[in-house]
Amino acid sequence: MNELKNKETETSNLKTMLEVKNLRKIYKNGHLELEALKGINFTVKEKEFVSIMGKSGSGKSTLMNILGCLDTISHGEYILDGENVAGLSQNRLAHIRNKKIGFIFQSFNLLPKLTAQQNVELPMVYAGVNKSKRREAAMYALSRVGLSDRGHHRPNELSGGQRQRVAIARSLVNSPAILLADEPTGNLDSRSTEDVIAIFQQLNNEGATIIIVTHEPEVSEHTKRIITFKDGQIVSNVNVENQIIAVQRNPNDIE
Amino acid sequence: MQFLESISSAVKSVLSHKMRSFLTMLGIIIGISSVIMITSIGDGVYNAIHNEIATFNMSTIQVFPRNVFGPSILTYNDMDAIQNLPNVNNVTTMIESNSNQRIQLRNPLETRRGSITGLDHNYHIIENINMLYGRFISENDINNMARVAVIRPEISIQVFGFVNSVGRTIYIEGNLGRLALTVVGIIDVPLDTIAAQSPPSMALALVPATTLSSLRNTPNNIDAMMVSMDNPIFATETAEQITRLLNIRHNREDGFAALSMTEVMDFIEIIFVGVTAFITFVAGISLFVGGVGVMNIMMVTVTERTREIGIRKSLGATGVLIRLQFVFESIVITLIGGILGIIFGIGSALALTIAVSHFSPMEIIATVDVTAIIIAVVSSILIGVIFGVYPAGKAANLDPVDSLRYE
Repeated sequence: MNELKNKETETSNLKTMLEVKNLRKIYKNGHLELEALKGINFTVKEKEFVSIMGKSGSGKSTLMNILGCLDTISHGEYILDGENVAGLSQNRLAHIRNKKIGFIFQSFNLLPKLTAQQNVELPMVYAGVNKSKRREAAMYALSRVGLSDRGHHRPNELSGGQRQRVAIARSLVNSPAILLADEPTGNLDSRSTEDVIAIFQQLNNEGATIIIVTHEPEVSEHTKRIITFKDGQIVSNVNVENQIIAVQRNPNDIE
Repeated sequence: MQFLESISSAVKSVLSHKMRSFLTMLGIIIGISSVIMITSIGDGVYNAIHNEIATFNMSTIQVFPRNVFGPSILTYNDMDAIQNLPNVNNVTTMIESNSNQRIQLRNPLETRRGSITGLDHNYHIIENINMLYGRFISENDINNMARVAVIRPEISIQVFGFVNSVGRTIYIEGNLGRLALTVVGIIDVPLDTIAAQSPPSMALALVPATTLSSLRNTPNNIDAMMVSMDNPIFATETAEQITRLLNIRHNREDGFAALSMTEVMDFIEIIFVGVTAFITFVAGISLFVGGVGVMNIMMVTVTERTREIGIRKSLGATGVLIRLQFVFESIVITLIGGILGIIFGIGSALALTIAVSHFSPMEIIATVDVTAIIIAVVSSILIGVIFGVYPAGKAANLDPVDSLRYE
């Protein structure tokens, strides 16, 4: 009981990483208007591990794109790491994506012609980090996801689970404010899914703030809070009572 | 730093599609190589002609009737009249028989076909002819219409078997009848110049002009004159005076041409400038077409790589960097194309001139102009920029959400 109380005070002292206020997104197509997000409010604090759930068409992908600064807001506010993102220029948004957001996509989105190492270096190239520092940081990031020895492999020489771990390593290298994972296990078998979730939990334990968009309850059960969407609105926002801890295989067992 | 990254990633990307990149470059390669080839050969030919002409006496004016067909209306009296004009140093003439004359060779069954050229004693003053043996045509020969001949060593060997045949007799048969001519001199013929193709070097025999004109039954007429001047600076004025005098004497509007060697040079120069401008224009069209080809492929590339562009943007690439990356790719294609074009152009110019020199008395050496190479390199880069900007802009303006979703 005491322990729980401590945890709560600890949480309230943590920095707000992301805050969405009355967020609306309206798509216009001629005279037709589609309101994909109908006034969303929520907050994510430092070191949180949140999953956003909902069926397809619920607005969760739209929200993901907005949180990732890939798409713009029609109404409302989105404050990311203390900066109001609404209304910023494309250039400034590119900068924010580079420095404050680490993306993990369902289809990995690695560049096929680059090696794993080069893929991991890419965000640092755009951040203007010099070559030797890039190499060092990329190797460290790859070691965090258990792929130290795969740096010179191209994506097509890696398994799905390995590719997603390369993508996770890539998302980490610029020390972003949040990691945004969009259905990160959607293209993976159950074993690789377990590995990837284990890595997310490990990163979260090490202090990373993570948001996962998913429609799989098996994935969201591993996070600490679940926000559920329906028809462009939040229908529930609850802490997970019994977070399931994923067990990562020994890296030597991984294909 | 990011600049260098963009360049190296552009080079990698172009090299990763070797066949496609090469085909895209082809238009640029052909355009650039044809300009380089034509200008190199052109400069080589121009230099060769210039060198040949420089060996000519620049202070001479060629005078001939504009109507080159039919019997000539110029006469020996015209020569005397022109001799009295200011700035005229010397006047000499040239008459040519038709080329159906046959000279009897050593073997009684063999003859050699060619023409006889009639010259006067002033000719070797103007044209700097050197004698190997004997003498040139003299004033006496002219006055007496002497049956004498000056021949080349080659003819002497064919007729007599040796070079010095001074004092011997040659026999020439043709429409002028059968001529017996006493050899009075052997001329020294320059072998490897344009002068080697001038009448004295081509004719079977050189005879006194008066001898030839009387044999042609037009004893007073000559075909053309060469006028040497005291001061070549006034070549144009002297040429004008000559044509004016001749037009008055023959009551013509514009019956005669007087060409100074400087005018010939200017004329050749104008032709070369014109040809070069025309080739450059044609090459410009082919470069434009090549550029459109590059643009086309760049548009395809941008579409194909929509997803890559989306990924790069999601990782923080700004529009400017995406634009730079594609402009650099376009420049890499056109620059490599340009460099290949330069190499190919120089190579084919050298090969062609070497081949042509085998068959030509002139030695033509393809001259590679550094300016042309610099212009070729700069214009390749420019084409890359001009035709790369639009596709690159398209890439830079892609919506990140849509491009990430692109399959």
